Amino acid sequence: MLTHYLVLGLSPQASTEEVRQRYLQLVRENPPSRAPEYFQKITAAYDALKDERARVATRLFGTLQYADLEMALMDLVRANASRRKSPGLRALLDAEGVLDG
Amino acid sequence: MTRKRSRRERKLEHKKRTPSSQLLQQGRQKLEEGDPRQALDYFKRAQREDGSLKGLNVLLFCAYSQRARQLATKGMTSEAAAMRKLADEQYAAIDPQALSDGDFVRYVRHLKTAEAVQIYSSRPGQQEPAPEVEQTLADQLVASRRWEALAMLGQDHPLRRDAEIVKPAIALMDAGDWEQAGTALAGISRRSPFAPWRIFCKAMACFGAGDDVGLRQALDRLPKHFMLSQTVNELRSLCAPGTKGMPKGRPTPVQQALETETGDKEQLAANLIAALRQDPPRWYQVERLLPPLAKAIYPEDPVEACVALLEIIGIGGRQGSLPLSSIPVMQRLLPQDLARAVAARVELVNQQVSHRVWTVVPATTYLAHQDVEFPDTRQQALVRARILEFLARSGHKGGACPHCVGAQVIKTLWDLTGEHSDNPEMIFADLMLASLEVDPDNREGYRFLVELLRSEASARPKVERVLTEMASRFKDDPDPCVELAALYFTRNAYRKAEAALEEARRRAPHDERILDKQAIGYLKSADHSRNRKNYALAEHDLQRAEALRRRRLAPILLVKRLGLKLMSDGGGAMAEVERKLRSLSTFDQLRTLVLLILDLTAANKVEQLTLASLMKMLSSKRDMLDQLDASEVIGLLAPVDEDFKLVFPDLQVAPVLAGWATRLLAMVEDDHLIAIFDILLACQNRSAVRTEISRRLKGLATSDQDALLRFYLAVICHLDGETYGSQSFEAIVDAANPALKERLRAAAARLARHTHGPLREALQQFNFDILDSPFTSLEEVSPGFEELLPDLIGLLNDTSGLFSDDEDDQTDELEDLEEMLDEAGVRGAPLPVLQDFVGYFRSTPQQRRELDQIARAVEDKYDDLSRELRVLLFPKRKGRSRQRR
Repeated sequence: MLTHYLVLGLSPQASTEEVRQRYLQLVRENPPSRAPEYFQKITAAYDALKDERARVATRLFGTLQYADLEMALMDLVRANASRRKSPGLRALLDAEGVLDG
Repeated sequence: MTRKRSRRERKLEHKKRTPSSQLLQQGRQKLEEGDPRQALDYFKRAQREDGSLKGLNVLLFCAYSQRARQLATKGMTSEAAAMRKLADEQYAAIDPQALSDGDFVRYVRHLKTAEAVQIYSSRPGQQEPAPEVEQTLADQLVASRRWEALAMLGQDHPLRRDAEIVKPAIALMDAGDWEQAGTALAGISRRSPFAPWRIFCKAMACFGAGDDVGLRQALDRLPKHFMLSQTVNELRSLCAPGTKGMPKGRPTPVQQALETETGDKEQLAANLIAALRQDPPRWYQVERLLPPLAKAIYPEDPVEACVALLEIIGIGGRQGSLPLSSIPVMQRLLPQDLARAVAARVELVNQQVSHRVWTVVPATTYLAHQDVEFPDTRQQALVRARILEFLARSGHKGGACPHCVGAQVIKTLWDLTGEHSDNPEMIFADLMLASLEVDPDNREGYRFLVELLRSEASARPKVERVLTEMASRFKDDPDPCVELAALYFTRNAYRKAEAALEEARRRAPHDERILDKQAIGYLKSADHSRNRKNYALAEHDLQRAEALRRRRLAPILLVKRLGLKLMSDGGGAMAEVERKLRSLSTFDQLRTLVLLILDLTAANKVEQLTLASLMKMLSSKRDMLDQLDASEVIGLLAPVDEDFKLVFPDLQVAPVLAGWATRLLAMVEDDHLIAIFDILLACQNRSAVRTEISRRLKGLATSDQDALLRFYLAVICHLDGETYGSQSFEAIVDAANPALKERLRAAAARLARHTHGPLREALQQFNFDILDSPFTSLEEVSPGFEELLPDLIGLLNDTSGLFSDDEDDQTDELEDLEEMLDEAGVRGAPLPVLQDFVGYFRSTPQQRRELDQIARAVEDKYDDLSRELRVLLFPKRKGRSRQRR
């Protein structure tokens, strides 16, 4: 279950509306033509969390979707990676030490 | 003898010999690579060679400045200050106007923006385009935002002109909205000094989206001297194929900014997997690894991450390793109540998935602790509903037999549902009913419940109630209305059925399937009226069916129209029927006539004379058979489509043409022949198939087709009780090549439908050994059954009392039969095992005859028979049974 929240970049306390809004935002930013794999992950995460019934079912039986331990573990570890951070320009300039004028 | 020089000495010697100009070039290269330390080494060596080298000051200035910046990003401020001071010492001696273009670019990179622009503006040849210089200044302007420096440049200078487009985009870049920033920079031309920033926005947008292909393409278009070189290098290493960002040492500031230092997490995960794969798993290592991994995955809530990791570890329990609840690490890593809940939840899933014995313990354990994970009462209700449904589905799918799981389990399940039913066989349905009561919005749950209830005849009222509820709750769904209609038709409640179909059509007006069902429904009503000689009403319903204009039903509509005509007008309508038939094609004439005969045979109160006249008409058209091709022959014999079962109770057409079987079979070859065999066998017409096979096998050379025919013959001989054992099958299968074997396997699957008992199992599995030792499947249920079999058959044969008029005699005999079943040990056996058992008693025609005789004798006592005895005597009938006490 946590994997799905991480893919959407939300906390497990996110409300149904927050899940929906984030899903729409991510889908707009990552259409299937541009990022097909990530689009699939976003959609799967949304389906698992879209309403209370889905969230209860995912919490109870979410592990059913995994055939084996290793795949499930790497999906969790890399869930955040699929939603990469978008640092701002200042952060990058600061990191490279070119922030002075 | 001279000593051989060491490698170090040779290197030093080489260093000494390198010309200064080359040293400067190597140093410049190192500056471009972002390695100012090495660059300084080269420059200092060149300085030692010739301290007055042209351009040396600026290179030293650049190297010291770059090194100062490097040290500052590492937090080494005093060292950075020292480097800055050294850089300043070189600065004074630099003549910017005398610098080469390349050195000038390096120089201005390390100046403040205003100074860089000022020096650039006063440089000779400034009017000429100098892309690299201008791009460097553009980079600095974006970094510093000192747009006022541009006042030193002419109005039409690209830097000044394009700055107006770039300024608004900077805010978007600062916010990390790279997609929008790229859009804002769309007005920048490819030659603009700011063009690399548009490309960089595209690269960052692709990075954020996980589009590594787009990222690579954008990075390839960036100039080498782009300001954010470390970021570009890090992005490039990320999207290079085959790399997953395993870090070497501490993450750099750029990696931290991009959060690409995932290597730690992956390494921990890899170590965890390695520890789990040991036999037995290294739990102490697992316990050590889980907390840091959980923190790395989700630092905001490591407990949540720990739960996620433990769930995943629990997946290993499916393969038979320790259940999660017995692993001590669980208790130490999580609060006790949470550990219990998580372990129960994981065990619930694992038990059902791994098809171990189906139990309810994990379900009841979890429900007792669900408030730990679901404190909200509304969610708790949903949890209960989901678990009840899960139990129903997993039990039903796994073939859990309510009789086999034990009375205590049944009682526990009833306690979960809150109701006690009299019928344990309905336990899965009861679980679903309880689930839907709590969560009535579960559409798929309703469908599953209807499927469960359908198998139990006594549950029809419940089916109606459930379907009505479903139709009421899901007002856009036509399916429950269609199902209700089918239910009403079985009860001859035609008007209710029509109303249900009308509602289904209202919900899905363009659903072809519903329109077909509506038309069939009207035909059913018409048949009912026709059978009661209410011809006016029948006509009315028939017209309603015709008004729907269902092309697929056209042949059926014609048959019903002619049938109604014949029943209402009797023999007088025969001429009209003949006239109508003659307007059709040869195939349609024959097929319509055959269906008409089939229809009227099933109808009540049709005059025998009418039927006889139709048969005569059919006979008169016998010669028309010669005009049919092979596929039309099959079409003629093919059963009526299952969809029309409501209006054709007997779907099999071939018996009507039984007298023509030989002629029809002679008209076809190869695969068409096999298709006709399958049709005839479905009608139990084995003799026609047997005769044809024998005819064809006579004197023919061996071929694949012959092997198929011999296979069919072997099955028929086995069904007729002439042969036993695997020999006849194995002789054919063993001699077959792989392609033929596949054809035989497919034929076996088709033929299995017409068989039962060990032969059926052998054909389904394509393994004929079972025919030699037919007791294997019963071994688990009834060990030693083989030894009992002769006595059991003897007991069965000695049932003379069943045919006496004395009620007591009959009762005694039935008790004997029941005791026989007790001794066989098949009480409570799953239905497939029971059917297997019955198959042995019905494997010869004589045995079948005797059992059918017994069945007829005790038909009025059907309700008193045990389930097992009913299956033995009435193998094809379904219904409730008394529990044997």
